[in-house]
Amino acid sequence: MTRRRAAVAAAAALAGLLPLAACGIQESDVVEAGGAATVVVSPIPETRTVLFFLGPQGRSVPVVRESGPRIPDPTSLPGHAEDERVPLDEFGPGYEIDEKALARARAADDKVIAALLAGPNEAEAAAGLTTALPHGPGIPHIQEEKVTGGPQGRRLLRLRTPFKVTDLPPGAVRQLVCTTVYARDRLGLAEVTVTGPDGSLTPTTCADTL
Amino acid sequence: MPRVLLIEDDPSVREGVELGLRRRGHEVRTAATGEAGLAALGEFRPDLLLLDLMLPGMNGVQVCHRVRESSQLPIIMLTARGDDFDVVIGLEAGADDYIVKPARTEVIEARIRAVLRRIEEPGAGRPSVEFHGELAVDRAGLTVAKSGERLGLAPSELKLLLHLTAAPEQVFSRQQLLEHVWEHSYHGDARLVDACVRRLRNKIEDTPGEPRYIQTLRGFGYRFGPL
Amino acid sequence: MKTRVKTRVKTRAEAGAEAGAETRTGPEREAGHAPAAGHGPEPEPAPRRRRRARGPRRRPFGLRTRLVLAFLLVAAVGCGTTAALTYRAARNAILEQTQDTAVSAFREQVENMRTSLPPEAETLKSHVLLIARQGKPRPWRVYAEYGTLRVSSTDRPTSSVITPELRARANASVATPHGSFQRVVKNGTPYLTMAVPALFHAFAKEDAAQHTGLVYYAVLELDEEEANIEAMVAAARDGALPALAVALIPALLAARGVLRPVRELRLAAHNMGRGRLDTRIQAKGSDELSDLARTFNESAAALERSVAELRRAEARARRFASDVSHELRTPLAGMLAVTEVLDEDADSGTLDSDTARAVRLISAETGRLAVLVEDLMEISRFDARAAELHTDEVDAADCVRKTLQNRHWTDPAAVVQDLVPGIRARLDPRRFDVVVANLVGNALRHGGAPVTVRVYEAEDHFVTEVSDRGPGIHPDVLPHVFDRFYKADPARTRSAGSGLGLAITLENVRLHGGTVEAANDPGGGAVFTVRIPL
Repeated sequence: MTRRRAAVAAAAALAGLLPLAACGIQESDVVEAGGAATVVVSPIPETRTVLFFLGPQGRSVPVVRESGPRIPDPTSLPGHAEDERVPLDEFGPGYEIDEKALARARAADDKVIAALLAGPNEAEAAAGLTTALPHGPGIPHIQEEKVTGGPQGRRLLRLRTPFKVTDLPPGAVRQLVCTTVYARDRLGLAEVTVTGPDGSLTPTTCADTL
Repeated sequence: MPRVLLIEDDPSVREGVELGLRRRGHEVRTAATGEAGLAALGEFRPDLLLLDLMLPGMNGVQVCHRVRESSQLPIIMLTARGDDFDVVIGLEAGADDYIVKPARTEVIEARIRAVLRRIEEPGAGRPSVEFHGELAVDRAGLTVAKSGERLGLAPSELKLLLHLTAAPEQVFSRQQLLEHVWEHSYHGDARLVDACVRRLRNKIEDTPGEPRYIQTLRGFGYRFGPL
Repeated sequence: MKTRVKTRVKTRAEAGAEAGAETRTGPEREAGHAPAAGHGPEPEPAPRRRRRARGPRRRPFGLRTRLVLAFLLVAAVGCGTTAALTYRAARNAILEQTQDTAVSAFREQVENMRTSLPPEAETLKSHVLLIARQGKPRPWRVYAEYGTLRVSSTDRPTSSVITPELRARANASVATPHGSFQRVVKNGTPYLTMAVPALFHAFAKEDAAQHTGLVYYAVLELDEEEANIEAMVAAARDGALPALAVALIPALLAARGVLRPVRELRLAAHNMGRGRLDTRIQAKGSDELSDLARTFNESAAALERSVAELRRAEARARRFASDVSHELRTPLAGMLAVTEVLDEDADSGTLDSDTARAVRLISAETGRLAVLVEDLMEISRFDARAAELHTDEVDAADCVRKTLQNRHWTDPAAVVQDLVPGIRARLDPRRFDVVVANLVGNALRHGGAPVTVRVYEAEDHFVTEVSDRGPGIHPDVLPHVFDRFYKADPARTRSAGSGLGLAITLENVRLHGGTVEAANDPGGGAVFTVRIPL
């Protein structure tokens, strides 16, 4: 009896020593550590168009295309003072451009959506990007909606598509919404209502489609 | 028949021993105390003293000493076995032998005869007086003189000396001496021999601590000489 | 273990010896017997000294071993736990530092990149190589993935170390993507794998950073860290072993602290067992061991009292026997002296026949009574330890021969003598005579002729053997033959002897430091063997 108890005690003591036995470097789970890296994507925002395609696993992947100076859009940037010059961090101090000129220089939004619908170009396809949007005739159109209620500065955009939208997969909706938002809204916060011949989707932001 | 003086305080022993010895033809005088016994000595002139060690008043050892002061009367102590210490003291005081009580009369008489028995006369052709160093031993006259001076030896001492000088340089074991000198059994009390040797040495040796005449052989016994 | 028990074994005899002439003080004096009281029955005082040489015996699983083991176990657990915790903390610190450095350095380097979307493979390759060279804390392997595009700083486009979980986490479609890492062990080599998704601002700093779909991975071998950690383990082990060795010292000290009272108890119990009932332990303190010591002392005192009481009772009984025989002896001395007178008259024919018979009876019984009283006295002296041994160096064969001769046992048909001559032995001739006479007399009385008496030498002893050709001794009787007044047959109320003969024989042999045994010869008859050291 005593001997057995002693044996149990010894075993317990040895068990207490086990952490020492687990020496060396152990495998671990995936641990989050800090934020992601923010990289500079060229060309500069003023001369580029951001389109959203799908990666190999159906993830949303943006591509950036050179688009040249944009066509001014008087409807954009409401509430901004005329000829206000703002610094552009991408170029460092001394590189300041006129906000209005910037807005005016934008490519026509509809052309952007048309580029999206045209699908990935050769380089993009080589990188394994695809699109979930249907190909077809007709030109989509972005228009600014009147905002009723909501927080100040809220913008509502409507995208009219020539194809049916209610059955679109989430990835396709995201392609449409995000491309639309970044075509029109510098802050990328605007809500977009996608409207096809078969009806409208709920207004949503690019971030919401993640 | 020898005349025996019995000093014994216990009436039954006194009477029994007296009766037994008298029946065997001894002339016996009894005394109940040491003092009475000493007083009777001069008048009765016994051949032998039977002395109880445990006496009221003057005890047996003291009586023994007193007797030896003036005479070489044969003395046999009566003792109880176990009174070992008293036996030793009695022997040192000069007693020749001792008898353990209770004893049958035949035993007592045998001891009396043994003590009184004379050593055999020397054979023919042997001088009656032998000289050993300064000692002159007269076997016929039963006297011993040292440097011409006569020594008073108790009977046991004399017999021991005669026995040893009869065969000088021969070793005798205590048991042999007990058998021959005291006529005890082989298994007798060797202290008799030792005590007697001590007494004898005191009388004949120049320095009793380094004896010339009676020498001890450890583990074997005693011998006379060599001188 | 905090209170040390102060115990010390001290017998009164020793205490007396130490105190010398000083006044006796101290607790062990209280019960106050004379020192000699405890010694009473032991004949030889010399071997009673405490035997220090006995020392504590080492037992494989003794208390000492167990205590030391327990101590070492505790020390080992303590050392081990401390080392383990320290090690874990240090290992985590090392890993965390490496990981944090690596992840933040990696992110920083990724942030310095400029890319197009989709990236051009060539540009990306140069990026990746650049980052790979700038690895912190040391170069790493860098991989970049975009869509199906795979670029790496090595020959292979992807790494097998990067787990699907890490990939899934890096590509997760969440509002705020994170960098992440994972430690992977592959083929025994630990790796740190990191994933940093690259984000970009679609238009300007203000807008929410968007996932570019480009993910950078870095794989860093952690072999250096592992070496560091292994060095720590080695250090912990090398530190723990000497610590254990050092722990052995207090363990032994503690064990001694506990074991010393135990040893003293054992010694005291041993002393008690050897008859020193006055043994006491000094018990100080209030722990269990001193309680035990106190209980021991109380029990010892109680035992001493009862033993003393028993001894007194026994001594009274013995003294009574001795006194009775003493008192009987004096009248017997008188009676025995006159038995001869009675015998003579009874034989003379002068008495009338009845009187003569009565007189003979009285005479004969007086003789037997005298023998009985003598034997009783002798036994009393043995009991009182007053029997003295007057040894002389004699020839053993002579001694036996004389005994037989004196008792007239010389008929070779009755007693066969087989005596090896020339054995010199230190004997008390009178007592040895009693021994041989009793044994031979006993054999002649109870056994059958011829009785053989042998004397020979065997291993430092001389042996006297008395055997007969009788029926032998019944096995039930055998253990009791040396008992006093033991009657083999209760119906036989009296034997020829006093009933003390063999008891006296035993005592006499013991007095010589020898032994006597009774046994049955397989060939028939009883054999009594006396062994006396030469």
